[in-house]
Parts: sequence; C-alpha cells; structure tokens
Amino acid sequence: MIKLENVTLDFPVLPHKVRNRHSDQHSKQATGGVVNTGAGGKVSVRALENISLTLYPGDKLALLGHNGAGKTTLLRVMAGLYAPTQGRVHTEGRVAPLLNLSLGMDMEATGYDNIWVRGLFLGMSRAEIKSKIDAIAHFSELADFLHLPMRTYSSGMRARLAFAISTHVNADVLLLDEIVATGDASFFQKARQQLEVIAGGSSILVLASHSNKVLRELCNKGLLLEHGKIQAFGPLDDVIEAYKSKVRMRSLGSYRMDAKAPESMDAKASKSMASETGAAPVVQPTNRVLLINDTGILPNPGCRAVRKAYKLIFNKHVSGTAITASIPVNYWIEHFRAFAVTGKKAIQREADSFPVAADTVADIDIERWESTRRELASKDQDLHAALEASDLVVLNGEGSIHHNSVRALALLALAKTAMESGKKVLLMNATIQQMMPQLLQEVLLRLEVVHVREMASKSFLEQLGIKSFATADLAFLALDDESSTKTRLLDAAVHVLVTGGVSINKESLIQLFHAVESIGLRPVYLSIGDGGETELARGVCSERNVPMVDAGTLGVKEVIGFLRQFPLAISGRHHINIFLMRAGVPFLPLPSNTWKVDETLKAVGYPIAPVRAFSDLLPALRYVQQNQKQLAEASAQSYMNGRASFDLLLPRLRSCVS
Amino acid sequence: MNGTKDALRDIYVAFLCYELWMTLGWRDVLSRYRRSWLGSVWITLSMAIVAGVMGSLYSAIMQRPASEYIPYLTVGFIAWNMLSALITEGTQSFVSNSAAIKEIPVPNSVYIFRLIWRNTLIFGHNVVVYLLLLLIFQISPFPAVLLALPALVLILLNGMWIGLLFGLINARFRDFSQLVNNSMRLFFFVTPIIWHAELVSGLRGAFVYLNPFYYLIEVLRAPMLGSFPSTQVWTVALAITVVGWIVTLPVYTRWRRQIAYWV
Repeated sequence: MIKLENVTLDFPVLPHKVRNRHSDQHSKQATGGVVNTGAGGKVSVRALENISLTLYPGDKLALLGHNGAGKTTLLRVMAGLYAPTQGRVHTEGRVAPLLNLSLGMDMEATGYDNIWVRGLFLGMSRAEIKSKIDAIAHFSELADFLHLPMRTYSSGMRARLAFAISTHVNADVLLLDEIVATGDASFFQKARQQLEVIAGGSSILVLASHSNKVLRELCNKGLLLEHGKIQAFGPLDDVIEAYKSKVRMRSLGSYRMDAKAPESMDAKASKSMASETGAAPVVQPTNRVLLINDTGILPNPGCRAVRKAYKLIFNKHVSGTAITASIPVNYWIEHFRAFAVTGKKAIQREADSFPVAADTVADIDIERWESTRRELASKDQDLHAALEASDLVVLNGEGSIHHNSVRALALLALAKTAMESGKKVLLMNATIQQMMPQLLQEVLLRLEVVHVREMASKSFLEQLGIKSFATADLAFLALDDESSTKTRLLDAAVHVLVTGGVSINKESLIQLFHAVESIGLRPVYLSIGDGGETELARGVCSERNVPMVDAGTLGVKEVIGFLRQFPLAISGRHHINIFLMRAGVPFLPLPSNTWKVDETLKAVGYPIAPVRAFSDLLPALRYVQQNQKQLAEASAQSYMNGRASFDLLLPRLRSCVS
Repeated sequence: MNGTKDALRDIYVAFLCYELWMTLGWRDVLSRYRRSWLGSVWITLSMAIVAGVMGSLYSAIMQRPASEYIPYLTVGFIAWNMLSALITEGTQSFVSNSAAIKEIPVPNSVYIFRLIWRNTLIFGHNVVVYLLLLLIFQISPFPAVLLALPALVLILLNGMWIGLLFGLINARFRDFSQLVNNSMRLFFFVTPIIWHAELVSGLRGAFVYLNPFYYLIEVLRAPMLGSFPSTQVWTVALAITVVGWIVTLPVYTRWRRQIAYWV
C-alpha cells in the first residue's frame, strides 16, 4: 500500500544555481514547478503541492502530465528517496523503482556483475539473485554478451538488462519512469508482456509515460499532474480525456494549433465512432468546435458525463463537426471575483431545513463587468488563437449562470468575446436563475442557440424576451454504457447511499445519517469532490464511522454499476439523480443551489420532490423504503423520459451548422 | 528523540544491507586496478616501495637505526593512509553516490559502510607489508599487538561519524571538501608520522598533544609495533570518538532527509 497525505515538496535551490534567474514573470507559464522566493532570499521550487492519494494492492496507476509537471518527483517521493517538505508518506512492502536505466551499472563490469550489483541495490539477497540470475539472463536476451563489459552494449541492450533485473524483483510496488519505450520493438513487446504479468498480480504499479497506448494496456487508474498539483485522479480513461483537453489548451497557448486539421486524437476518436455506426469515416470536419467551460477535468462524474455528451453530439451525432479545442472550467474567473456575488449569498439557510437556492440576488456593476471583459479580451492572445482556429463556439453552461456568481460573469464575458470574433456561438446545458436581466440580454439575445436543461430557466428567459430551447440535462445522453464497479460493498443491501449537495452543512449531514439509521439501514457517503463538501463530509463520516467513497475515483460508466448495488439512496446532487435513474435505484432527492434539481425531476416525471424541512426527512425516507419497488420502476422510467427529450435538439444543432 | 531513533535505525538498517555494501566496497577496490595485470596487489606493492625507499632515506636523515625506523614509518603511514582516506573520501561519501541516492531507496548510511569496508580491505592489503617487516626485522609485537584490533575498530567508528558528518556538510557546502583536502596535506607533516613525537618539546609539543591525529594514529601504531599505548592516548582517542558521535547524531538526524536534495 502507498498512502500520501497532503504531500508538498519544495526543492531547495542552492544559491549558485539561481544566479541567472531574471524574473518571476514567466514562472506561471513555465513548464516546471512554481518558483518561490522566501524570506532571506531563499529560493525554492515547489515541485509537488498538496498531493493526497492512496494506492491499494492491485492498483496500476498511470502518471500523466507534461514534462516538468512533477511525475518523476512524485515517483521519487513514493520510492522514499525524497522526504516531503510537508505531509506524510506511508508505504508497505518492498519498493522497486526503475527510474534510471544506468543506475548501479558499472560500464567496465560484465553484464553478470551488474546483475549482482543492481540486484543487491534493489534489495535482493545474494541467494535470491542466485536463484533468479538465469531467468534474468534469459529475459534480457543478451546471451553471451553478459560475459562482456557493459561498455560494449548498445543503449537498447543496457535498457533490456536494467529492465530485466528490476522486473524480476518480487516487489510489492514497482515504480517505472518513462522508460518502457526504450529498446527495440520486439523487446518492447516483451517488456509490456512482463509488465502485464506484474499488472495482473496484486502488486502496485506506478508508471509515467507519454504513450496512452502503453498506459491503457497496463493501468486502471490515472493521475494528471500540472505544476505539481493533482488536476485529475480517477479511472484512467477519464484522466486521459482530461489530459487531452489540457494538451489542447496548451497547444493553443503556444499557437501551435494547426489552423485546418483537427487534433489527431479527436480525428481518431471521430473515426472510430464513425466506424462504429458504419458510416464513412469523418476525415475532416468542416466545423471545428471550440468547447468553452470544459468540465471534463473535474472529479464530479456528472461533469465528466456532460463532457462525454458533447463529444458524442459533435463527433458523432452531428456530422461534419468535431471538438478540436477546449478551454477548461474556471477560465477567467479570478478577474471577476472582486465584484461577483459570493457563493454564500446564493444559498439560503433556514433553521431545521436543508439549504436551498436564494430567491433574491444583489445586482452587480455591469459597466465594471464590461470593462473587465474588454481588458481581458484585448490581452488574451490564447483565447483569440483558439477562436481563430474554430468555426463554432460551444459554451457549456452547466451549473454556472445563476445568482450573478463569479462563474456566471466569466462565462458570459467569454460568450460575448466569442461573439465579437464573428463565430457562431451556442450556449448549451445551462441553468439560468436569479441573474441580472440586463446582463443576460446583453449577451444571450445575440447567441445562435440558447439551450437550457429545464423549463424554469426557459420561462425565466422568456420573461426577458430571450428565446431558448429546453431538454433534459446533457448527461442523460452519455449514460448508455455501463460497466461493473470495483468498488463493491459486501452487504450493500443493508446500506443507503447518501450524497449531499454543494451547499450541504454539518447539521444536514448528521440529520441524513441519523434518518438512515432510524429506518434500520446503514449510510455510505459518496463524496463528489468539490472542495468544501469533501472536507466537511470526511470529518463527519470519520466521526460517525460512515464509509466514504470518492466519486472522483469512479469512471462515468462505473458509477452506474456502483449505484446499482444499493437498495435506495438519498441524493443532493443533480447529476447523481440522473445516474440513479439510469441505474433504476429509488431515491429521495434533496434541494440544491439552483432549481435544476426540482425542475429536472418534475420534467422527467420522478414522483418525489426534494425534501426541505428536517422534520419531513424521516417520513419521506420511510415512504421510499416502503415503496421501493414502484419507485425503482419510476426511477428507470424517468431516465427513459429524460433520454427521449433530445429528439428535437439534434436536428436543431444540425440545422445550425449546415 | 524520535528523530534520533530514526537516524540510528537508518544506520542499523544500512548495516543489515551488508551484502550490498560489502559487494560495493570490494568492487571499489577492484575497479581502481581494473585491467591492470597485478590488480589490487598494487596496493601492497606501493606500500612496500614507500617502506623500502622512504624508510632507508629518512632513517639516515633522522639518524635512527633502519630496523627501528622503517617499521615505525610504515605502520604510521598505513594508519595515516586509512585515516586520511576515511576523512577525504568521507567528505565525498554522499556526493559521490548522488546518482544512487536519487534513484534507489536504501538508507544513506549504506554509502558510509561501503567506504568503511573499502578502506578496511585496503588496510588488509597494507598489513601484508607490515607482516613482511616483522619477519625481516625479527620483531615480535606480542602481546601488545592484540590491542591493535580494538584500536582499528575505534578508528573505523571515527570513520563512520566523519563520513556522516563531513559527507553531509559537503553535500550542502561543496567548498568543504577543498578545505578538508588542503588541511589533510598539512596535517600529514605536522603529525608525528615520519618523525617521532618525543623530538619536539616546549610550545611545539602542541603539534603532538593538541593534534587529534596523533592519538588516533598512536593508538594503532604502538600495539602494532609491540608496545602498549599510554592511558592518555587511549583516553583521548576514545573521547574523540564519543564527542564525534555526540556531535554527528543530532546533525545527521536533523538534515539527513535533505541529502537527496543537496547531492
């Protein structure tokens, strides 16, 4: 087992190494860690920041990230080579790192000699090496070369020998850094097979590589690092997806984006999808889609499902389009923080009730919004390059445009800027609530399509004279496939899955756990991973001994299988409601920070409305328990209803691009 | 206190990796003479040449009988060679293993044991010359020679703390090794190795009595030549060892985790 708790690592940089440092101006864009100049002129590089993760036997973790993102440093921390500046590292079992192929290799000594030295370095005893030396020699395929000094070997031969030794240690943890690709093709094949054998066992494998193919074959989890921070951690496919969107963004940043051809990864994706449907492969879409506010990198599986839905829509359902670039969630938001309405004001807390969305909101200074937007628009070359290289701009409105929040202001500013570039701009999957009317009119009236995900937003916009198009949440489109889950409970039948909304508080959580225990069942908490909620839940769960599952570690497909094992659930999450419907699990909904929950349930015909007062909780939960069977059917039917609502959306989008 | 325990544990775990450091130490000796025909016999040979050439020349300069001066010089030289190697190489103990420190999770003190073992082996090679001299000059060092063994252990224990402390300091401040190398050259001349301690008197006696190298060499040299070292020599040599470890342990405890960043 490897457990990292809040690991932060600062590299001290000795004075003579930093004489040529000019300024900090570029440190944010630099590929490596963040350079800090502390008190007394001490310079350090923050190589890792606040890394927490646990790997269990059987976990095969892929490390992704660009050069200098901290992958090798993280491997060294896991190997116990670097002690963290803050936080703790706990490892159990024998660790075999393969970070550097030449280590412990004496070029003057023979191959056999080097097996001894490297083997000893890796913690094998002489007896153990003796018993394995033939297997190592055989695996390396070096035959008689093993009697010659290493200096006569080619680099491929050296790699083979080093690899053979490291993988023959009976290690509990094998750490590999970016080296599997060395050696010739046939050895590469063999090395992969050997790794697969290890990967199939119960040991832990951590592998840094740039080859998605290798990672996909060997790993089941992924970790995306950027500037030493975890950007995504979870099922490998989702993390690779997140990485791709990051890579796209980076390629925009350095103007390397090909103005004509879509990025190869997406071209491949659209090709494979086209071949699935039997249509001619899409070689070059006429419409390159820039997706703004891409939530694919978030731990929330609902957000990842929405990202998947966009991909299905533009790379599959609407022909002639493909997502060629994306701008991640939270872009520009820090510039609007100073005058946006804070999240707390968007939530109304009443005694003995679950928090609900506030029904009033303070206005913001619209002139200041416009001047901030103009200034950003004039400076942001990356954004202009991205807009330049696209034909269609899609703004993902998911969970953003309410209560004049910072995300709403940033997203509307991006929308207006995109419009100024003369491209077609679509706002999709939005919930729009309690926004300043002038601001909405300023932006939304001029958009190509405004697509909202429930009727309340539609009528709110109608009052302002803004036409919109409503369907259920796009996540309904992305849940066709289901896979089994590794996160299984032994006795799931006596458990109730509980998940609180973004605005959940301690008191509400305790009420929820208490209610579950009152009906004779045990709670399991599903944490979605947006900062405050996770921390709060972790505290309450450990106090009350409630098991907690991190949704960030579950793949979109896997979530369905995970939820299916529960007889019933209580959910304060809009997207988890949709997953629960897909799994046909009866659930008791809770209110959230916008009307999306209530409205979606109403639209798809789910028979229970969110519970508000604590006093209603227990009776409502009993009702769900007693009507489990009917509600399970209603839940599954609701999914079908939601899924069917897209019949009109796709034709509308097709007409928009043609 | 927990930290000191961890540091001691680091040293203990390193000791348990004896297969590793013994192999590494032995290979260090071999690799110096690799592809030469005589191999590590050169160690013995060069010491024999020093004993023969320098011994006969300096016995005349010092006006001492060769039968007494040559063994004195040779044994002193063997002891000094070991001590100075422990110090100069100890200063490099972490820096010269930087690649391994950054790649392989073994305790850093493994590299100290490697150094200690390497120099013990070299000492073993030199002892051959000593045995030859005993034969040639018909010297019987018994029973005092039995005290040479604890004296050797004492020197190696000093080598360990020096390797830990100096190696650590030099990992952070690279000028340190320059300082050490230069002072070692000077110490060779101001320590009674080619000359006898009783030749200096008055203020100059400070070079002998305030010189830690004198005690560490004499504690080994005297029994090897058949005489018992004085209680004063033993006491001071022991005190150096104890004080050395008392200084080293907290320093190593505090900064040993930084070594990987510094090297």
